[in-house]
Amino acid sequence: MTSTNNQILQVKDLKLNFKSYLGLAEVINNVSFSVEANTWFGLAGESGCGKSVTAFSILKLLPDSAVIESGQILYKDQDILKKSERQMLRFRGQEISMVFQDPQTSLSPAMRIGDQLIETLEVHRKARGKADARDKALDMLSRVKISSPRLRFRQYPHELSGGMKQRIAIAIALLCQPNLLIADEFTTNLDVTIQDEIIKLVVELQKEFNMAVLFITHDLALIHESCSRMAIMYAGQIMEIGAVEAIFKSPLNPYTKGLLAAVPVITGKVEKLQGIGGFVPSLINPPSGCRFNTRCPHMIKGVCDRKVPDVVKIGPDHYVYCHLF
Amino acid sequence: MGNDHMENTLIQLKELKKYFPSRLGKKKFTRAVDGVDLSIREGEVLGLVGESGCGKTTLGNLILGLHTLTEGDIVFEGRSIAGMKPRTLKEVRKNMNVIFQDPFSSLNPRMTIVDIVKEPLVEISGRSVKKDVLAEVMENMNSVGLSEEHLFRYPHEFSGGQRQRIAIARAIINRPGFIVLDEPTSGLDVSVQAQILNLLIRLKKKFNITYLFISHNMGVVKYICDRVAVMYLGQIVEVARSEDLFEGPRHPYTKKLMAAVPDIREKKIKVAGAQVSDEIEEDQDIEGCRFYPRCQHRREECLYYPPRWHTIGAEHRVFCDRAVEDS
Repeated sequence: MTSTNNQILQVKDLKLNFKSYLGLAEVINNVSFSVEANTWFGLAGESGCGKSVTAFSILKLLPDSAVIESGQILYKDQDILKKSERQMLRFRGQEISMVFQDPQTSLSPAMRIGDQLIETLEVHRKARGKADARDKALDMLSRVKISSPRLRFRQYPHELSGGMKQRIAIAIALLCQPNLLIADEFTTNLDVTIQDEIIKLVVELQKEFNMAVLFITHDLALIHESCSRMAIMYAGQIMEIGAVEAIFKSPLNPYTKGLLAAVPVITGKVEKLQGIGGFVPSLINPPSGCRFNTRCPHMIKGVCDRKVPDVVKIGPDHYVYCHLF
Repeated sequence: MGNDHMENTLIQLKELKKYFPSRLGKKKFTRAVDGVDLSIREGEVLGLVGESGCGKTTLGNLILGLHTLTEGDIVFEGRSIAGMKPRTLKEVRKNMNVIFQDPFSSLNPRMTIVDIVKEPLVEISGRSVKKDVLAEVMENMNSVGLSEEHLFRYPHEFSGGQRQRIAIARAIINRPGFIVLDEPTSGLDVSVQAQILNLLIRLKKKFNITYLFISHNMGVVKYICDRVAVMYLGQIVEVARSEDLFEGPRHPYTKKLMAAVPDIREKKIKVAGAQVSDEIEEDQDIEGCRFYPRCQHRREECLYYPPRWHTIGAEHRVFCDRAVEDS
């Protein structure tokens, strides 16, 4: 899709279904995007659009009910989907790691913070002995700006605030110096002032560690603040993809336009917000063609509901999946 | 004090306090609401913003009578609610209602929509003629954008946005003059949130309802509220008309809050030495200003002397001595 060969991750025509007792849910439908090394890529969309499932499939953390129909996920030159579970155990954390939404559940409540960091180092054989592991863990805690790391080392997660817990989770994710960090709604549960601090911290760490960040969120404003490229997903399909500046300046897909018109802002004059009418379709027997056609104000009968739109290049780094173009 | 009594005041909070017994640490009480003076005017949307744990939900619950007061008074339509007999309180409560954040837990999963919506009409207003009740349920369902086909379904068959519409239909069926909206759109997707906000504005105009809109989302507050009160650790720290507050926040906390809100119009993150406030020493036992540990404009005296209320503009008041020094 994009021209540069600096891509660290390429998802190509990924198609993924979930088996359910109601039938086959077509959760991801021909999704393609790529993440360049050392940059932030934002994957945005509303709940149920498949953005988290995409992330999980990159790390092969899918439940048994998920079936990958077709497609490739390339990390550098390796096809992740062809890796065995044994290979994945080393791969996760070392090459790609992930930070989840809720540090309350991603950290073990029964282990001291320090032990959770050391465990990660030992599993990946990144430390020479206990003392070395301890030094490395303490160093990582100070890099995520945890004050008095020695004290925190001995504490349990419940003794820390939400923002600190998330920073611990980030520290664990970065321990083996991955090349790609997947951040799945990792600031959603935090207060806005803490969210601001954590985003800034990860922007700093991204540069320090020379890694790429795949940022999955429903919050378009956060993507605007942090990412250089982005993709908008709806009901398992990509709607628009490209440079953040281009998409925010001139959104093309009616869905992207609708989303941006619905975000309340705090700068400038208050303008009437426009919701998007209708409901997200069921992914069991989803609408044929463009899945947004049931809610789209510009739907062309006989076209949009028949044929899945192909990608159209609009600008240097701006692509849209829509029959209007 | 932070009083702003006006002619058309609907609700007046006077020195309102709510302390919860606390077993944690040395503290005996958690002072969830600690000396709040605030008035809510008829027909306005008053926003109440603050971070999680600042006491904004407790304040809403106090007004609704869902908690007993520790100290202070609430005057609703000229009548004092504190110490009111349960029967009289029930009478007053007919005129108030609440919409909660999570429509997945606020609707009884074992009741059909028609039963959920009609319950206040039958139980509180004592209406019994079945035909009339059904007609009224239908009318309210229509005004929130639901139709007849939804009547006999159960909550699990609806999406989050539709459930919130059901909760709204139920809340307005007795035509209350006042509704507490406690984070009504926080669990919704942004496109649905916009629909619900517009619906709330339409209903407010149609039925002349006063809202207390509790939220942590500054964008939403700016969109829907006429006036905004900012809360920090149990106290109100700034009150102003919405446009004044967003154009010129004065309290250091309000400023910090606004600076942290990401925006789709302006890029704000200029990363240079990201600051991280660690264990936020949220200390209610500070004699002076409670925001002291996090404040960028603090001085030594702030720690020892509590701030006073200062009036800045017509309806702009701020609870900080530093905020008025330079002007």
